[in-house]
Amino acid sequence: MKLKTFLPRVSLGRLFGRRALAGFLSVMAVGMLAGAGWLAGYPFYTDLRAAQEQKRLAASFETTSVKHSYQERSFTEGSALTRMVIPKLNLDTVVVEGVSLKALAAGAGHYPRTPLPGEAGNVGIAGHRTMNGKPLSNLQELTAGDRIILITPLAQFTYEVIPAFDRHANPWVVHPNDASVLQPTDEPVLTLTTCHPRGSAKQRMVVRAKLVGMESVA
Amino acid sequence: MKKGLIAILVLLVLGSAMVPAWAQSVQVSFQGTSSARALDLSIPALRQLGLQDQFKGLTVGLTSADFSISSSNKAVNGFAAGKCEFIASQPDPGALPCDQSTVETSSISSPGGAGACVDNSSIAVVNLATACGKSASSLTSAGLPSSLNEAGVANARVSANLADLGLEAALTVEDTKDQLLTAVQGLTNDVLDTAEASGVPGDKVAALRDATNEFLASVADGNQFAVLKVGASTTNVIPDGPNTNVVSEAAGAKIGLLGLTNALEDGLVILEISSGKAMASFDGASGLAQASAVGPVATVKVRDLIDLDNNAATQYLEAIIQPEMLNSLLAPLSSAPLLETTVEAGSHTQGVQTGKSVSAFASGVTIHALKGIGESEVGKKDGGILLRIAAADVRLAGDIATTEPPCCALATTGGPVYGYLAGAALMALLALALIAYVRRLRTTV
Repeated sequence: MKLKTFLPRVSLGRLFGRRALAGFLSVMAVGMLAGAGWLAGYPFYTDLRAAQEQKRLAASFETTSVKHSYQERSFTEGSALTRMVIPKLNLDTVVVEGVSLKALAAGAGHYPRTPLPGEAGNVGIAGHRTMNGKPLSNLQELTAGDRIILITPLAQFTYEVIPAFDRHANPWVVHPNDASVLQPTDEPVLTLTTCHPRGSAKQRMVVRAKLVGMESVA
Repeated sequence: MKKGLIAILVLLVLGSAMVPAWAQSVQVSFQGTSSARALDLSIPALRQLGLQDQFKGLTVGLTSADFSISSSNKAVNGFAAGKCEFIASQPDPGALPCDQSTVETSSISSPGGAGACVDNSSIAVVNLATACGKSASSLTSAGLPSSLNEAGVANARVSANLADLGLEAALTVEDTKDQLLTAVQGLTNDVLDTAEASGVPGDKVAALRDATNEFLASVADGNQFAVLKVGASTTNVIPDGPNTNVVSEAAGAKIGLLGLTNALEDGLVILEISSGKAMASFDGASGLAQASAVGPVATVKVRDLIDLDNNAATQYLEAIIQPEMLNSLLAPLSSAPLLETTVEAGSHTQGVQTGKSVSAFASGVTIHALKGIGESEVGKKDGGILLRIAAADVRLAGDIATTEPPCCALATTGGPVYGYLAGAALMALLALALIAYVRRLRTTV
């Protein structure tokens, strides 16, 4: 298919002057190449930005302000909340408070209305599967018995992925509006959510783990 | 145009009504336990014969159910045992000393319902007819618990015949008979004296006195001192619309004393104890629970002995009384060292409310007869026969919580990375095409 087909049949050269037109189209082509470069590089840029943000969060996590936030149970959106370590996924990331697009630019965020790590009930954490550091890129690899460790300034909580339950597998896939996966539970559990399939927001993949251990942080 | 507007309005109304399920969540959670016992029978008198190790007592007709319903957990369990060893205190369902051939348990994963029976079993000196336990439990399609449990001794007759116990060999039975007869004669004489004093003709009273003495003499030659027939116990958890009803009932008992051939039919005194019932209900719509109980009532039938000589049909005078009033009737027995007998009334509670919990119990009628026989220490009055009849209890707690969901939708965590790359490729192609066009344009200048 030739480009001629799509270009106007009127003579643009005669209309604007051939040189002027060539110059304008050249600038436009360069702009489009730059745009293509930006589009191609944006996912990598978000990864770099997330990495930078993680460095900043890791530094802030070491300060006493996070401990104070826990003691006062008061966190602002985007502030460091807990470190999440998943040995099987070779993951060690800082989870921020909040799950807005801005907060999740750091990679992973804590659903604000769910309990804090280690507390009774259903702790909810969302993480990107693509871009923004994609911390939960390989969430589907988790199986029953795999450990998920949440480290806070007060204590370290170990969760263990539970076997299939309620007639579905674990991990399992739900509709994006199915917030029931974050409903309170009687037992202390952790629920991780990420998008599914990879690169799409059409569904969500969910993993449920139960609290199996706690160690105080000296 | 109008049709279109109407359609849009209808859609808007429907849309606003059809709020997604996740927008607001109503959590109903409730749990309860319930149990009933038809009869607890203990015979400390067997110490007298050294048989106490052979017969540790008996619990007939034991049923229980427990359930727990919440968003994360749904469980319902039923238990029914036809006969067990005497269970004195709050039972641990996992370690009940029951005859497993009369036990059936049920749960969601194991619905049960087949029943378990054993025929003509006996434990030491006590013989039982067919003893059965039947338990069936399930979860309804609405997620409510259902459990039906029944246990007892079919055509039950638990004989507590003193002669069967061999007490005569231990020298006490004749003494017991004499003491019992003396006590009963004293009781009837008191009644007759009172009747005479209140104007009943003397010849009528004399006839009654003679008939009573003749009857008691007949009884003294027989063995029908006490025969007991006990009903079954049931514990049911029944869903009814949004409600869950829990009913525990022990069917009561009939005790015949001093009979000629069958004390249950012709005894001088027949004591009928009605059922004890405890109920509770949880309203899944309002979250309210309520409970009530009906304690056992005793009906005392005293045989009219006037027509005894005429072989007339057995006539009884009936009186419905509270069980504790029996104690005053039994007071004369306390003067006999072996025969002291007491009755504890089946106290019952109507819907005790503690926070969001309710409970009710019908504690049954406890009869401790012939306390002096087989005492562990002289004067301790811990021998004899101990019966507890028609006990039932229910405990229920529930709540409804309306909670906002943690968020309206799960977080978006999947950047359209392939979209970015496809867009980049498309823009690059367009740019290249433009560049090619520009080149051609320039060559023609």
